[in-house]
Amino acid sequence: MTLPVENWLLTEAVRLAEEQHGRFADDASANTLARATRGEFPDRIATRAGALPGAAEARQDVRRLRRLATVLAVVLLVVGALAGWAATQAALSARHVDALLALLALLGLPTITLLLWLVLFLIGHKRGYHGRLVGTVVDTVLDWSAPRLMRSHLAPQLLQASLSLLRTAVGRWLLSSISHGFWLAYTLAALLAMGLYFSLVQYTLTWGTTILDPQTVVAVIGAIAWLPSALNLMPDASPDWIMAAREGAGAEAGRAAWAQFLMAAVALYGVLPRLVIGVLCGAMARRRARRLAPDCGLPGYLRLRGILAVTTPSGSDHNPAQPAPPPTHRRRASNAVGPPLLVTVELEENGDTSGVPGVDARFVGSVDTRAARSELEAVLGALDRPPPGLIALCSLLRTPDTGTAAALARMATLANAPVLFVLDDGGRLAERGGDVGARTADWQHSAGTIGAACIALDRNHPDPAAIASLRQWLDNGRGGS
Amino acid sequence: MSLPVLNIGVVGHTNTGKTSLVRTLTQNRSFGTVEDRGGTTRAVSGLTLEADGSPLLRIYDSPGLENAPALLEYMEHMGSERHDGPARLRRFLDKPEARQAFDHEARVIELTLTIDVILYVVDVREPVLEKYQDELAVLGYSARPMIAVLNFVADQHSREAAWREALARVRLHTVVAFDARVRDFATEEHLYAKLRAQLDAFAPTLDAWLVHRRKEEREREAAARLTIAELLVDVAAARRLTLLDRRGQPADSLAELRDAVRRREHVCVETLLALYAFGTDDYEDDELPLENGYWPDDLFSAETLRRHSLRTGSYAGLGAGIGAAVDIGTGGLSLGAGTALGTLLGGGTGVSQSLGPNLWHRWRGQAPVCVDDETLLVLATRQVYLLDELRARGHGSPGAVRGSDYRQMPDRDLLRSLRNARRHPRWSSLNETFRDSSGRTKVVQAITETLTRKRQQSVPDDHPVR
Repeated sequence: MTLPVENWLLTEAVRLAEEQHGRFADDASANTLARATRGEFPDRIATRAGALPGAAEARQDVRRLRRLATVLAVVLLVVGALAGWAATQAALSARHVDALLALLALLGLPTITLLLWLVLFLIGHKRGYHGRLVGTVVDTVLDWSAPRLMRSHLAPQLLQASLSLLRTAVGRWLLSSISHGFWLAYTLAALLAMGLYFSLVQYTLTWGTTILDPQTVVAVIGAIAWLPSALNLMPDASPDWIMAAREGAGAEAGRAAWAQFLMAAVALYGVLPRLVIGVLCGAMARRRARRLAPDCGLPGYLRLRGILAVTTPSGSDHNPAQPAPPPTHRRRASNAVGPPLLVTVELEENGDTSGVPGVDARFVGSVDTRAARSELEAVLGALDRPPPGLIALCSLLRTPDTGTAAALARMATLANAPVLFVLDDGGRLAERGGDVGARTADWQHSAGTIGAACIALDRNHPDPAAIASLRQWLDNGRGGS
Repeated sequence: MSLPVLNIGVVGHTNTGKTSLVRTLTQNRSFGTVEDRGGTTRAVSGLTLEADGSPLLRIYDSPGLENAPALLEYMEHMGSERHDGPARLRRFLDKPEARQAFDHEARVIELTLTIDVILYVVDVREPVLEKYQDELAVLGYSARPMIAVLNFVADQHSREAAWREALARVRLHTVVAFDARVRDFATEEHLYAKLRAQLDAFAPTLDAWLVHRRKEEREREAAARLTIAELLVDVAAARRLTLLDRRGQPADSLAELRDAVRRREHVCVETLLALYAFGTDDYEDDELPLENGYWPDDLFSAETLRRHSLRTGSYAGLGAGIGAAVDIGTGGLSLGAGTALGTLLGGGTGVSQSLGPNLWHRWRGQAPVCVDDETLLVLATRQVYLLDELRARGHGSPGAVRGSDYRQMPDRDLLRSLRNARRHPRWSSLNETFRDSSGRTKVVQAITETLTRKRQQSVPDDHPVR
């Protein structure tokens, strides 16, 4: 059910475009390709999106977007590093450095933003607050640069899809990891700058207080130094050692240890948390990206469900229909005598068998049931001489079928007479909303297959022209319609 | 554990609506060919229906039976296997000359031997003829469970009672009325319930399928309402600049705005049709109030407004012409109270942002023109009406729930949301400045909820407005 980010973006862009402007007109081959994809519905819609005309250009745009995102991330890292370096330079601008003030200058901002991120993460994780600060920056940059960068006709929708991607879990984790990356660059640059300055320049590192109890400051410094000294990154921070570095105490021997204290504090409280959280966020973004799936309940996707359903043709297609044998041409026998015979074919239950207007025909039976057919066969077989014609009174309400045609053909052969299909009930079919013209054509075709003629004649509203052609058929006794 | 796939064969006499039934069950409008004539389907073809990626049902369409009386006689004279129907059918299939004489029937028989259940489709407008009973006898040889599906029961010429009686006489008691033109989910559920009662082994499959279908129906409804809500926001927030003459009337034509709105409505209609598995070329026989997938009456005509008799108290009194209103809210008449207040407080960034360009345009004699309230409501009403029509098609009986009451549509909540959208040109995909935002999403959501509420409140309406 998941898609790679690139495919997700393209699929989303196609959905947005189709929801705004209608389905792509030339999507037939893409649909065929999608149906041929053995996979789940999201895979099929992704295949379709990738196969639509113009998808290649859109993919190019996605790659451009990707490059833009990479450049943006690198720029942010560089800016972070420069800021970190600048902050260190400012903190160490004088030879006499107040250690606590320098620590505050270097760790204050990263710590505050980290705490802010943590609070937002804990309170509003479900609502997606984390990563919002960087999100605003990225949004603005994308908004400004994407239209200038992208060239495909899907560009506006790709931008829209990218912005909505940033609002998904993947986007939020990604933005968070970028923001941690920024502060990581900041603190690392600070650490590097300190290493450089402390190596090349001799500083006097002290601390002091005007209104606080010195013991409180000692306790604070002791607490900060506890972890670095526990990790052997600096000598033990005993209260005496701390008191010795108070401004005006005159002891300057511990300056290397104090520099170690500053660097270790930045590394442990600045670099380390950002590194750990940043890596975690990156891993989460990567994990979520692997589970990126389109929301198939959206109208733009849902509408494709029927179109992209898989049809499985069954094996019996290998047996194509045999061509129908050429119809036999039925003619009136030269010794024909008597009135034409009338056979009814599947009339309505209350359909009367009184005959056809304008013709004096003898009703001999129907072909509706096996018993009736046997009876009819007996009657026709017992005729001394063939009749001049066999009128099959059919209802246009029925759909012609090969079974009925075959039965009538059998009767015509038995009677040795030409057959005429008289099609009744045209008016009733029209009442039902049926297509009288198409149905008549179907019956004509059916009559043609057995060499019969065909006339539409509604017995309730007989058309004089139809009666005239019926009479003419009887006079001529020719087959064919 | 994967569930067993249930193979369903749809069979019946020629032109009884087998393919239509398959289309309805699979919601696939492009499946097969449907025409009111015999022999349209010439080969067996099937569709696999999946739920969450696993196949559950395979539905096969088949060519119509045309010559069952002769086939039955043939098989009766074939002798052999008196009490083994399937063996008899197999023997029949082994005879090449029989295959040739009964081409369609042979394909159907071949199918019946490979499936789990037969749906025998009946056109109940037809009288109960012996040939249909012959078909049932032939199909009976397959020894497969069979369910009779009565098609066209909603037709006034239906002979449902006679058919039920005739089917009972051949011991076919599992009968379900299922008008293939009706898109009524309850009927579909009923059909599956009947299948479940017949097929113990496939009960889990059918349960899974029903769960999936119910979810799908809910999704479909939600998607349809979302489509309408998106349309309304797009149109409500749409605006174009126009020059005003001395009387404050737009000097140039509003044709561009109207065309954009018409096109956008067309997209919405197309999506709704597709969601309910209709194509834009397939509406005529379905009695939709559409022509070429489009509404025959123009949205921007006095006649349409009059017919819907909507009176809302217009949004903006300048009267830019039918369907449009000059936007006085954010710049038409320069500093309104809200604008002034926003500027005074200095905090109204939204106001001041829109104020600048608006004043500039105003100074040049231009004014933003938007779609007015009446037109928006007509638009909403039409889509909701179409949705209702699509949801329950073919209920021919008068008095059924059909369409919505136009007079109910002017809805305070809806108007409030739309007027809110109108203040944000960036929310409309019809404007070049379009940008999706959480504010837009919220309004779309609110409109969707309003539409859902309307649907729940809707009462049967005896006078559907066409």
